[in-house]
Amino acid sequence: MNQALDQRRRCTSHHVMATLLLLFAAPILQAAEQLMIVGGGPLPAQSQVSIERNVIWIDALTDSPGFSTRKLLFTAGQEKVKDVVEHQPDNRELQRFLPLARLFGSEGDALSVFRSNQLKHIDGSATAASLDRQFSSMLEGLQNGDGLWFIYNGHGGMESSDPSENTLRLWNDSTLDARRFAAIAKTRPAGTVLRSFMPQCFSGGFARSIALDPAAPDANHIDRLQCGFYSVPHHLESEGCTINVDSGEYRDYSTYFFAALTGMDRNGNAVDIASPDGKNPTLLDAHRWAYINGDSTDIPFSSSEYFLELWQPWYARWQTVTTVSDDNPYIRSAQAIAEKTGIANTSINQMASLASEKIDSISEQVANISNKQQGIANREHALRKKLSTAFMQHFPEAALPHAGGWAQLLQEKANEMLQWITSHPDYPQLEKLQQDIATLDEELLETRRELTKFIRLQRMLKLATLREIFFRSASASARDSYEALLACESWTPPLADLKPAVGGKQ
Amino acid sequence: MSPSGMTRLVLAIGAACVVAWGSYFLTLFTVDYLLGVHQLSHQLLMGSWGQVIRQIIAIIRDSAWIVVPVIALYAAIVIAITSRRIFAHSMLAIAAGASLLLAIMLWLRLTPLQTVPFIISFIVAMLFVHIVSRRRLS
Repeated sequence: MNQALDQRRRCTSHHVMATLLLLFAAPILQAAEQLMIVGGGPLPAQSQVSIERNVIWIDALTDSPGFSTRKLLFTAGQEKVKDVVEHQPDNRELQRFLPLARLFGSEGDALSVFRSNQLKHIDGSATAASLDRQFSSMLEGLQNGDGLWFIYNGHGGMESSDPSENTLRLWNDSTLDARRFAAIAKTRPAGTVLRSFMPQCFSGGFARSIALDPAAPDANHIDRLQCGFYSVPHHLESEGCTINVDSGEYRDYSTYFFAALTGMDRNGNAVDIASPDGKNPTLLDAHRWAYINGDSTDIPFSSSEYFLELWQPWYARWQTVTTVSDDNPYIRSAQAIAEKTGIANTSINQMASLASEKIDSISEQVANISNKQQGIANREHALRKKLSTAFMQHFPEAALPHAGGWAQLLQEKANEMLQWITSHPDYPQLEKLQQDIATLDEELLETRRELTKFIRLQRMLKLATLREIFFRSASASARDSYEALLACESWTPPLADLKPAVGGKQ
Repeated sequence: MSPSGMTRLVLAIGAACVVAWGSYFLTLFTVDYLLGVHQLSHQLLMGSWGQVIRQIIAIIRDSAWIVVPVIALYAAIVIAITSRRIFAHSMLAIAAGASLLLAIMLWLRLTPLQTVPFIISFIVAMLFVHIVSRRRLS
């Protein structure tokens, strides 16, 4: 009896010691999270203020002690150069020269000015070489259980028909492709996690970086501890590169994604995202919210969705949607989109059918607007050619814009030139045609955004079907890979307290 | 079997595979149309033809390992049996082909709707093999 009591006491004291050890050692043993933000355009003219404002916003949101290391690479780094282009529609001095820009067909860039970026702390330049070096160094420093979150905000390129050659277009017109990104990612120590967020054009090509061979991705050979979120499939442009100065109007995948993560948009307005268990949203929750609520031309996807499409066997392709189980998250997203778009939330086949009908009719609208715009553009081009020919006869130095004569002409006869253009009888017509083109551009963008909602719905229905087939037919190893990717995506980043209107209107 | 007979057999198997794939795609489109979903027709109308052709080639490439051996095996059974010109043996060949098909469908764990294009395409291909073998190969 005494022996049993002694043993029980010993056990209790061992439990207490173990608990204390865990309590004190937990912070030491806890996985460290690191963050890398890379932003800016490849050249000043393509380094839009919208990118800068997104980076300022994301930088402020992630300025948290929860990240043991943070690095921010942006354009030229700490060099104070003019690395950001800003649209200033109310700038009177720029407006004065608008007629000249109209004559040469560059009215879209006429109200732009260059300035230095307004970021407070930059750790280095965002050239390909700098990114390669710093990214490798951060990954090497990770230890088992640690994670790194890589956030990109800039432009992307499509270099060939091979999506693994899609690039990040970095400062100084340098590039880093998905293959190189994957190669660097694979150098990190075992047991470490890499998460990425990529909202650039053609970003889908980087989804291949989870494959052990990005040039020939195979669902059987993937890195289960690497996941990501991408704004568009590998062959599409994203909406992230607008020159719109009003950040309240500017919208792309990152705008919605980070608004969902923090519960507040870039202008400080509350966002309604209800986490199922009342916890802070995970990256996956934010992605799903952005997918359903994002009003843009982006068609975002995650690495787990990419994995399902990669796994897809031949007999699952081109299959018509059928019934799916209620716990299918993709059908829930599809139902939410259907509700938002006014499609009656009925059967999966009816939703697919209505989505197809809408896609057909809106695509026709897009084609009509494009044709109408093309017709106006042809007339504008002919009129501008006639006007500029007459202008060159009057001011021949204008034919050589990089020669000294042109600079002299601008200095001495700027008013005379502007007067000549604005008093020409054809100028009001040219102005009207260019305004019509700009109006149709906006109409086209709005119509494409509307079209994208139904394409998103159709894609979710397809994924819902694919998930059903996956859980019926996939091997245990494939299921493990899918679950591992979902676990990687279901991570809650340690964000800072909300700072409303950071990077918003100024 | 003479060399020319072997050539004809290979050609017949090739033609049967084309028939199988053709009827498979046709059935997929028909099911999609009859259910009113129109996803495939939309994909064909809206997507580029190059992309559609690449997808078709990918499906053919990925399914060849199952379509070609099944049809070749079936053709071999049909030839072996029909050469004896016994009706019961022909029925046996059809039963063997159907069992083979059923086994594949169960192995792939297909849904009932997914089975429809399979059944139709294989039945069409097998009928094709059966007719060709009775007329030319035996």
